[in-house]
Amino acid sequence: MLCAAVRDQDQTFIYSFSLDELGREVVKGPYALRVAAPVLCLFSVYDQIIVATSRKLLVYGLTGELLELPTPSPVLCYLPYSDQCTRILLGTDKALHWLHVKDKAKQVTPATTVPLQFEDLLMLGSTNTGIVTIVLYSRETKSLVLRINLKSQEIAKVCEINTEKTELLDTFSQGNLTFGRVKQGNTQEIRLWSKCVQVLSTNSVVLEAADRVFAVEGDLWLLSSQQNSLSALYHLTKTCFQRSTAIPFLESESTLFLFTANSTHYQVSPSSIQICGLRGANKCVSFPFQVNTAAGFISLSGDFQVLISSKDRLYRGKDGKFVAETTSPIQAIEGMGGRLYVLCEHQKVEILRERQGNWEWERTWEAWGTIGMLNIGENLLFIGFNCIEIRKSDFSLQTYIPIPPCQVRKLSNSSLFLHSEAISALLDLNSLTILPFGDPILDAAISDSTIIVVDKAGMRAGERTINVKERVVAGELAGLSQDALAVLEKGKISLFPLPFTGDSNLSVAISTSDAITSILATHSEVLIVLNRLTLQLHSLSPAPSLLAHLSFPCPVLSVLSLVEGWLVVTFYEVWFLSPDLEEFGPRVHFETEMYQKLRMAQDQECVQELLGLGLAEKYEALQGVGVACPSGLPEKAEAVKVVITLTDLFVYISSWSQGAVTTKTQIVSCTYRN
Amino acid sequence: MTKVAAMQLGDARVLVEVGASGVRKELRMWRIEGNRAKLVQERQLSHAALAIESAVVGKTEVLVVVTEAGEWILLDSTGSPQLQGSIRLQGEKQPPASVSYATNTVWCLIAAFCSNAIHQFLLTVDRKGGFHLKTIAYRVTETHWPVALITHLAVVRGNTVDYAV
Repeated sequence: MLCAAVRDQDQTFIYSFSLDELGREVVKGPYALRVAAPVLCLFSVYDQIIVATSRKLLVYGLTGELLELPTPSPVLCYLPYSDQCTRILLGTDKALHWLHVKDKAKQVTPATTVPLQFEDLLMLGSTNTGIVTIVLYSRETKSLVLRINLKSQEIAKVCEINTEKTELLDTFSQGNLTFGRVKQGNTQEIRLWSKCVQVLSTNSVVLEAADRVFAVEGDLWLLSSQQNSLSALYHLTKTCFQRSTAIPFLESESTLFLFTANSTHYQVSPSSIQICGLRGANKCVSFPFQVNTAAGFISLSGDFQVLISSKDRLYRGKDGKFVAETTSPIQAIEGMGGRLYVLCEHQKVEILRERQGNWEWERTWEAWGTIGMLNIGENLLFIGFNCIEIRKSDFSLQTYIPIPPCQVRKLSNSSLFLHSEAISALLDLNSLTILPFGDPILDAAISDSTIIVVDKAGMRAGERTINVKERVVAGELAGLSQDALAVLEKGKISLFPLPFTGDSNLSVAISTSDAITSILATHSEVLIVLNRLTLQLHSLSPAPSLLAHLSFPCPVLSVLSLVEGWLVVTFYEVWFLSPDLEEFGPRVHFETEMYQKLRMAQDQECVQELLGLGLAEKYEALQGVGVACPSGLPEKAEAVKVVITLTDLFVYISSWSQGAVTTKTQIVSCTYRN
Repeated sequence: MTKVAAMQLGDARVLVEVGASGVRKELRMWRIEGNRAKLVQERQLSHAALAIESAVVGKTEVLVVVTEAGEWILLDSTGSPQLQGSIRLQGEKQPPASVSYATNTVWCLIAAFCSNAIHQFLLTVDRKGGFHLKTIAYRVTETHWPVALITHLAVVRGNTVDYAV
């Protein structure tokens, strides 16, 4: 005969019934007994059903008699073991009690107190000599293994088990392996699982405190934020992060720059350079001057040189020999095509060329609005406050990319790391798209096409692992409705029915001829697929079908889903698209170029400014904030902020002068909905 | 939601914990040897585990893990799967709302489900490891079980307790 506690809304009933060998119910048990309080435990002995509630034990006989037994404190659990069927162990808050069950006069007596709170009592083993081993299990703290001598009633601690709750902070997969950052208590570890779920615990890595990370030739270098020195070296293999025991560099000075080329590491400090070959050759050159601005490297006919600068003078890294002098202090050095491009203050690029072992001035190019310079392949990138210009070696403009104000660092030949307090993002130079990281991070590096980032907690491979080689944003999700989920993965969109069942699989795949840069699910279950110059609308009901394929004269930056249609933002214009696709046209036209992707998130700075201008109520329906700029940036340019609410669009203009916002302000407002 | 079981499987005394932690559906197993406990197994399950129980299937002591997708996984003392079954609740898409267990002389494991507001289910594992599903829907008409959940299940016993050793 079985008994069951059945919860029916806020009441609990005890039912009993019997099953035969085929599982049929052959005997209906006695009656349904109503229990006033929620049932914590249910067990049976001597043909009696014992129900533990928080405050008392209820003992039911099969004929319906009832005995109520108060407990000294709420019962949390019981041990499914009886000592010669005389007593049962009950667990309460930091205590164990015996429930004596054999005698008719049932009673609860204290067994022992324990030093921790526990959630469950478990039987681990017993001997014929009356010794049982039990586990007091807790997920919040450590668990405890106790040995109880039932004759002498002595209780002894056997050991502790670290069952403390682990929190999986994030995971990423590479091949058949899954890395996860796991937090347990105050410890964080990177753990590794294979597809067959076997943990490779020996490969766990305790994270280092760091705020910079460099990925060079399969190695990860972490720079400590506290000592501003090189703190750790990890080797990233295809299976794990492995901490290197041999750190070739000394940790004496703060590190300014770190290069790796031709299997040699170069670590530049304020007054020295350390050059380490992978085979152990180590050389340190001290400088009589202070390296405080820039360093760069150049490869000439296979000869690799590191050049460092001090104010307006250039020196050779390997021996500190003077190379050349510029007209103003040096900001950046890049070598390309046998020439040295030196970005100097006053926004000039001085080009030097080597002739018979000496570097000679060749020409100067005015680089208005440039605050940084990078060499990517056969191009030079000139970084301004709001955009990056890509130019060839003759300075002819290839393209430009609008960016938010931020620091820019080269990660690979196809990607840049954009970083500020407001944004941490990857700029993919192939697709010219900005891929923001989910959380604020301190630094990023690319190794084996996997982005590794460091945040305040340590090192991780971001939740959005971006395969740079394939230019794919993996796992971007767009929740369509309660019935389906769209996932952008490997150049196609897969639709998954919700909720997932055990064998659920992709039901529909939408693929486009162009690389998909983004997807957006809208309220009317229309999926928007964004490519660079086109936008596709796919209806998902009753069957997936292409509704429209729209081309734009300039790159589409984003699409905002509004109550009545969509707002398509391109570099030059904002278009409004109604749901029936009839009303399609540039409803709002800027005489400007859009310089930043419109964001759904609130721009706090802009909010504060508009609050000050008495537009607070409009912000309740804020849809997005963006930045636009008139063509031609340079010395005095106007920056335009765009604020979109449900019904209005504000254009907020500020004048810029060398990056400093002046007081000139103008608000333009228009209504774009009917 | 975490479930835990401790038992002696052969010569090994183990503590096993199953449940869902964040996006990871994890199983952790510790082996207790002398005065030391060591984490020997940590695996991700395909679905969150609802419960774990020890049982003897045939002559083998196993751990039975039940997941929210209705999977039954039998593990040995090393945590390796020995047998895996799957029972879909007929006509139902929702995972079971509650699970509890008892054993009797016929079945080595009995599980009571209330998967939804329509049926009560009893799920059993026989001594050969076979899985059986029993719908006791007629209870619904006699009582007010349609909105009820079986929260606990026990075998009514004479001179011993559930899971008596």
